[in-house]
Amino acid sequence: MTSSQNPMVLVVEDEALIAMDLQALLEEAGYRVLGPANSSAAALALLDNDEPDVALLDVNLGRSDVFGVANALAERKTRVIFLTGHTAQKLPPAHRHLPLVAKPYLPHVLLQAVKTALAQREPTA
Amino acid sequence: MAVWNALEQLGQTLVVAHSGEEALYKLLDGDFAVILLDVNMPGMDGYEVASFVRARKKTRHIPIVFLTALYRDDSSLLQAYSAGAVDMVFKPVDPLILRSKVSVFVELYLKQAEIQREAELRHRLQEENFRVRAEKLSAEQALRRSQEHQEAMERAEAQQRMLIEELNHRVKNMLTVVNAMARQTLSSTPEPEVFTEKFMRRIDALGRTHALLSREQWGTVQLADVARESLEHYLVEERNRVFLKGPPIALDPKTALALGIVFHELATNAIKHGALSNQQGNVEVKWSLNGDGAVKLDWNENKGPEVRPPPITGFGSRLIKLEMTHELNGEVELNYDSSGLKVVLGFPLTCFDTAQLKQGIAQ
Repeated sequence: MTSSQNPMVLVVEDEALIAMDLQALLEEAGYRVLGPANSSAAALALLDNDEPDVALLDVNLGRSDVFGVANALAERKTRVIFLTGHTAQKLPPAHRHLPLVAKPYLPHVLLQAVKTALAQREPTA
Repeated sequence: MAVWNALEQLGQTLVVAHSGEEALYKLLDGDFAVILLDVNMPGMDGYEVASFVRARKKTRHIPIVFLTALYRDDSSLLQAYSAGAVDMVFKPVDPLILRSKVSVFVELYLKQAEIQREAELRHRLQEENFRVRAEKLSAEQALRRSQEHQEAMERAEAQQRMLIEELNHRVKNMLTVVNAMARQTLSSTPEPEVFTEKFMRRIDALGRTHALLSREQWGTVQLADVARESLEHYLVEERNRVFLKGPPIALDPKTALALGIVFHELATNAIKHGALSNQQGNVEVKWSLNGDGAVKLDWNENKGPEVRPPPITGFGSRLIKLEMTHELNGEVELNYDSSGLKVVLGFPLTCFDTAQLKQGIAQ
């Protein structure tokens, strides 16, 4: 079902079961999954070798947060979608304008957010 | 009468006594600027009255001017002054001289009274000042206490808001985990009865680790307790089928929850396919803590039915692997030994410190 032409989604989520579920949902919808990464360090290491089309980022990663990865992705002009149980007000001002999928998420809402983000990609991407 | 007329013009209060006794009686109350005392009186004479006046503390300071018709001879003068006179006026009285002398004492008295009033006023002002300062100090203290109280209240409210936010976040995360558990369980077991059974048992296992963590106020919990809680059903109902062996190791909530899931999946598999599926088999769970703060745990199944790989398939084995690698940054090895499933788990302790290591080694 997936091929190298299919869009690639970076998944950063530290909770194993949720990571597994996100991977399954995205792969069933025909996307390639980069990760899932369980930490910012792991995510940044993945970005050294791969160029995802969109990133799905859990905001809270244990005791740290995902904003370092979000900043690295912003520099590459990669679309970012946050996944969090918090509200947008909890995000730093620099990231507050980015799309946010609330936990607990519904599969069709999540997939729609990914589809929208991919459609908004810049033509060069 | 001549004296009265001479002094009336001074405009002061004149008190007349007609005898020494009356004079002393009138001196009992009221303050006087000067006493004009006739030396020759029936009964108590002037000298006697003067000695009483001098003996009494309240009247000792009042100047006494003797009125006398005696000649100005040295002996009478001496007697008068030694009785406490400050001056003498001779009869017949010259109104001008008397008035002039008395007015000096009146003046003196008025000055003293004024000085005393000023002193009293100053004293009162000082006391008032002290009182106001004390009131101000106590008001400031009360204000400070109330500010401290207010700050403590604000801190408590902020902490409560933070706790509610944290709780809110955890609940949403847990609902997300339950959703994921439902979807992933369903994808490996689509039959409604099997799905319901597996799903509910997995949620039940999660709930039991949660209950254990709640009892410890989400601090640390013992590895043995996590194992006992996740395997309790099999330990209790099938005694001597599962053995737990290892030193005390404190786990943080994240590690405890992940291990709870792993234990549940391993036990479910052992019941269905492994050493707990017959009457003779048993499971040995052994763990140890090595020097760099990593835990090694062995799950050894014995005397079960012959094992043919893979003993665990689908969602269960994927879940174990992901919990160990993704959640705990650890590793897992599944050996399909023909005598029984052998699983080796290794994971670092995230809340590891040297005290814990020493405790682990000591025991």
